This record gives sequence, C-alpha cells and structure tokens, in this order.
Amino acid sequence: MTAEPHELLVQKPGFFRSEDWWAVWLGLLIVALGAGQAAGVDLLGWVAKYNVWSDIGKAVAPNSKEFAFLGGFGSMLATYLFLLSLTTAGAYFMGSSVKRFVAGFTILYWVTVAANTAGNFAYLAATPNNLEKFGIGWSLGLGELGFVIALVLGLIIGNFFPKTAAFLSTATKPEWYIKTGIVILGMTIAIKTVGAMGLASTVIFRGICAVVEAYLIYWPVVYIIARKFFKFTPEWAAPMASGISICGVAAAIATGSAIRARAIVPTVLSSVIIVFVAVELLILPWIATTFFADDPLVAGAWMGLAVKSDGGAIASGAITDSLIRAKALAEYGVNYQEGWTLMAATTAKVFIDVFIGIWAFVLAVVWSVYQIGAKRSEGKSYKVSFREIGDRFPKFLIGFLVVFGGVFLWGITNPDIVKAAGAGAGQANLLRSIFFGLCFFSIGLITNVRKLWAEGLGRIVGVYAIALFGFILWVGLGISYLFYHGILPPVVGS
Amino acid sequence: MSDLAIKNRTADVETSGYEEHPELIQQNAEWTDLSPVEVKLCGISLGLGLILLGIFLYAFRG
Repeated sequence: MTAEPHELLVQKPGFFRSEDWWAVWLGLLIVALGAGQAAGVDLLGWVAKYNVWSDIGKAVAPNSKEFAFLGGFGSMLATYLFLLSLTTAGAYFMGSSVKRFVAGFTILYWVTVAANTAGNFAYLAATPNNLEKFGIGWSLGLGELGFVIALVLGLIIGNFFPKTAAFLSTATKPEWYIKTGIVILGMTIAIKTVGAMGLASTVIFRGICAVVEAYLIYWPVVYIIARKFFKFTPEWAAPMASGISICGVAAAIATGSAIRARAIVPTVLSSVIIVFVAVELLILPWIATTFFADDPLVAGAWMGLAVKSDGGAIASGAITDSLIRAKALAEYGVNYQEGWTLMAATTAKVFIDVFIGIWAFVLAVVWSVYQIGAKRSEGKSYKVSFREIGDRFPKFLIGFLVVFGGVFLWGITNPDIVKAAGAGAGQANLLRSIFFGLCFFSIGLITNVRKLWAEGLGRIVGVYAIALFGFILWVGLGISYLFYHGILPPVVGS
Repeated sequence: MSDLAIKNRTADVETSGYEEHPELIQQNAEWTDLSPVEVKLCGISLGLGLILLGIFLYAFRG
C-alpha cells in the first residue's frame, strides 16, 4: 500500500522546470496577445468562442469577424494547435514524455470541447429571455454546464476506466491548467477594477479580511479535532488542519515542509483532499445558487473559503457564477454582469494562497522553537529556512499579481485603452475558459474514490467529514455572509 | 494514555478488520495529548480570529 507523491512534492526548481512558473509564462503570453487589442491589433481573433445553441452549426465560431473564414471547426483546431504547442513546450521543459503528453492533451482538449459544446445546448443553458431567439419553448436555464460535464466525464473515466486514466496521466495536470487560468483571469479582474473601482476594491479588501478570519478560526478547531478526538500526532495533525481547514493539497504540503513532517504525510492527505474537492465541486455550487441567487458575492466568497484547492475553488466559483446569473435573470429579471461571483471566489483563493506562506512560517517557528512532536525528531530543534518556505510559495500568484497590477495601472493611467483592453481580456478569457475545462476534466480523472478506501484512510476521512460538514462549511458561509451580504455585482446595461 | 492502553488501542485497530495505512498505525503508538504549547497556539489563533471578526464587523457596519 503505497501512495504516489503529489506533483507539488516533486516539483523541480527553476524558471522553466516547474508547473507554477509555466503557468506564469503561458498566462503572461496569452495576456500579452489579448492586450494587442489596445494597440489595434487582433492577435486572438481566431480563438474559438462557444455559444448557446439549438443549431449545432452555430455552437462554435471564431470570436472575431475578421477570422470568420475559419468557421467553427477551424477555430477549434487553431485553438487546439496553439494550446498544444504552448503546453507541450512546458511539458518538455518539465521533463514529461512529449509523445505521451501530446496524445493525452489531445484527448483532454477534444473531450473538454465536447463538454463545452454539450453544456451550451439551448435546452440546458438558455436563459428565459433568449428562448425565442433559439426557437425553443423551455429550458432548464442552468447556464453553461460544460465544466460540470467535463468533471463528470473525468470521474467516470478515472473510476471505471483506470487504464485510460493512466494513459492520460501525463497530460492530467489540473493545478497547472487552473493556475494558468488564474494568471489570465488577472487581466479580467483588473479591467473590472478599473471600471468599477469602488465595488472591486470592496470585494478585494473584504476578501483579504475574510481569509484571515477563516484561517484563524478554522485551523485551531480542525487541529484540535484531529489531535484530541482522532488521536493524530502533531506531525499528521498540522498538515491535516492546514489541508482540511482551508487550502487543500498546497497547504498540507507547505505545512508538512514547514514542520519537517515526512513526505508521506502530505502525500497520504492529498489523496483524501482531492476526493472531497470533487464532492464539494459537485454539490456546493447548486446549494449556493439555491439559497444565494440574490446575494451572488456571498456565494462566490463561500466557494473560495469552502472548497479546498485552487482548481476546485475557482472552478466552483465559475459554476456558481454561471448558475446564479441564470437563476437571477429567470426569477428576478436581474441580469448580473458575468465574472463578479467568480471574482469573489478568486480573491478569496488568491489571498488564501498568500496566507499559506505566512502560516507555514508561523508553524515552522513554533515547531522549531518548542520542538512539538520532538519524540519523532529526537528532540533536535532545526533552523527555519526562509528559502525553503520561499521555494514553496505558489509562483503563479506572482503572475496573477503582475498581470493584475500591470493592467490596472495601464487602465488607470490611460482611460482610452480600457474598452479595447476589455475586449482583449474577453478574448484571453476564452482561452482561460478552456484551461478551466481542462482542469475540471483532470480533477475528475485523478479522483479515484476506490483508491481512497483501498489505502484505509478512514480516520482521515472522518476528520475531514466532521470538520468540513460540521464546521467549516457553515463558518465559511457565515463569514462570507457577514462580509459580503448586500454587496451586489453591477447589472448588464446599467 | 499508558503504554498498555496505546498497545491495546493499536491492537484494536489492527484486528478490527479495518486495514489502516501503515504510517497511520505507526503514529498511533507515538500519540500524546495536546501539549501546553499547542493549546496556546490554538487559543491565540482562535482568540485573534474572534477579536478580528469583531473589529472587521465594526469597520464594515452600515
């Protein structure tokens, strides 16, 4: 019974050898291409745009009329070749088998495309104001379901077709895809911030406060549950508290490293965390939509605070954004601008990732000075290494902050370019959406529920289930409500 | 918890038909109750969280 180490544990240092840095490079390149719009150059007009459809021939098209000659399939193919070349370069430098990556990515891409297309079928996705346009009498009005379909397909393959999942594993990189998407998202959030400074700064500032709050309250409670009631040693309980309470695999690894836990500890924990993330992803967006369609930012922040991985949280935010806008339009006749719910989730998640580093440092100092769990480490104190903690800092956040800060300053100092840059951000967002889809499918592929039971992780599952369903979800919801209640996204056309 | 109690507890886990991950079984024998430092760390974290909650809510009122 062995557990394979999580990819974050075996990351190689260097600007061209780690997933984090490659997320930065890909994200920056795509943002730079999108920014070409501000200079009057359409560099991403060929990227495929997925539309809600009742006629399959209109499901996909190039996003710019200048590239209409490509047609839907041509734009999908061009997008595939572009993304394949970028990600294959990354995979090569990261030491993956190029042949296996190309084969795996090709399948991942086209399955994601199929899921996107299916999710946009008018009977599933059309909002009530568009029924006539599509010539249909009814629709479930669920918004874009492509992400959910991709996730479910991934779960089916990951759990029932293990050989296929193993074949795809070289290209199954959910963290890489979502981190690239987050860097690209920095451009959209910056443009939104320029366009609605007061609201955006409120969302961001309250996001920071909510994260500090949630972390300080969650962590000690989960730690005590693990230590006192489930009899885990500090070596297990600290990474478990960090992983379960708020930030998932990355936090478990950072904390494990900070307190000098054996590598097996975060590795074992990560297999549990991944399964719970998939469960949350399938359930929470619908609960949030059911109860908070009139308070979208509460729902978005809740996803950011409750779902325990970058991929899962941002993905949940994206689904919630889509579902809530559809429901608000159907039930209240309010057409919220796209992306604000996702922004609340992203803000929470980004600051959580920053907070991981701070908290890991605090734990490293406490564990070193007071020799907690000293029996195992033979009572020797150790030196806290800033470099090691720095090495564990999620580098894609640097990409996000550079994009956000750069585009924000550009927009503030040159108001004339905001409209064009917004169009460029929209084009980059189309690629961001594909990266999100790839992430969803990958999350499903790596979520092997049977492996969880085979490895006998019942006690960890127990801590996770009690902490999550008995405490974390509701405290996270309470904090989101207290900090975001009544703050509403802008309405389209207002 | 005495050594005997720990051994019994570990044996219970091993003979219950529920097969745990080997590293988890190993850590059972190393378990000790929360130390004062851990209690203090949790107390400070929780206390700071609750105090900040009050401050933030006051700052965001209205």
